[in-house]
Amino acid sequence: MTQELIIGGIVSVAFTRRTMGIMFTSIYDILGKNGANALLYNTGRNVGRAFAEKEKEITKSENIELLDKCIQIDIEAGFGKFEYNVDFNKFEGEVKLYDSFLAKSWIEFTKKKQEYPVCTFLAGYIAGIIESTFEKKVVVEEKECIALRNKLCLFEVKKDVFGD
Amino acid sequence: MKKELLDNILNDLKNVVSIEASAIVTRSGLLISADLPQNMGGETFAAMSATILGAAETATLEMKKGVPKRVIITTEEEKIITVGSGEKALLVCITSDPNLELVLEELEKAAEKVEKIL
Repeated sequence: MTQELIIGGIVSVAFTRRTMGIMFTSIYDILGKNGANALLYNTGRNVGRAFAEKEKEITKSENIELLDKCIQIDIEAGFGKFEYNVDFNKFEGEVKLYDSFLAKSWIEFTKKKQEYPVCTFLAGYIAGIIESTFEKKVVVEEKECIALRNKLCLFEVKKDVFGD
Repeated sequence: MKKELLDNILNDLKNVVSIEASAIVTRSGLLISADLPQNMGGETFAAMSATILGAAETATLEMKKGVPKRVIITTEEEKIITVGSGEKALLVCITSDPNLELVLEELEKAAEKVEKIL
């Protein structure tokens, strides 16, 4: 039996940054920016929703407590360091991500500055976690990205005016 | 307000040509407005439509043939037609209308209206 990698009590797998970089740049190469963004945002959203649902079930926590637990696991898993400033009454605000694993993977593989933000999967992932946690549809858009040589990745959170 | 206007565009389209399902979707695959059968997953349909149109753009640009005007998927019974609607959105419908010319014409008109609203 091979040794399993456990993160936050969950059996996990690890990829090198280079592998992640190859995976994600390949998706953009094949589907183009728009196609890849559509695929990755929605995939990320489904992953985020499922993750928060599972955490809700395991920890029996809700709302901010659940959100903080999800963030803590993501930090342990090496996603980067999340900080959020969101008004959960209006569902408006921003999420900062320091050391985004995705942007760093991208940079490590391509070795060059990008023309657009590359953490679309994480934008969807954040939306999915918020949606499952607060049962409200939101749209998350990456405004700044390490891959654009910004200091951090900045995600804008807005209520999905078309979603409900 | 915008939502209502966009819903109206899909309703108007349905009144002119025979359409089983239609949706207005952002380029990043989020559903803006939809008129879909109950058994159809709107979110997946939206993401799939945006991904297909995006991939088609890559294919035609790669071949140096410009930006595609539309993507048509033909099955035994129906056609799924996706058209771009400016930089922000796209319009997709499922139709079995035999008058494809008319459907395309009406879809283009609807796509222009959507672009103006968004």
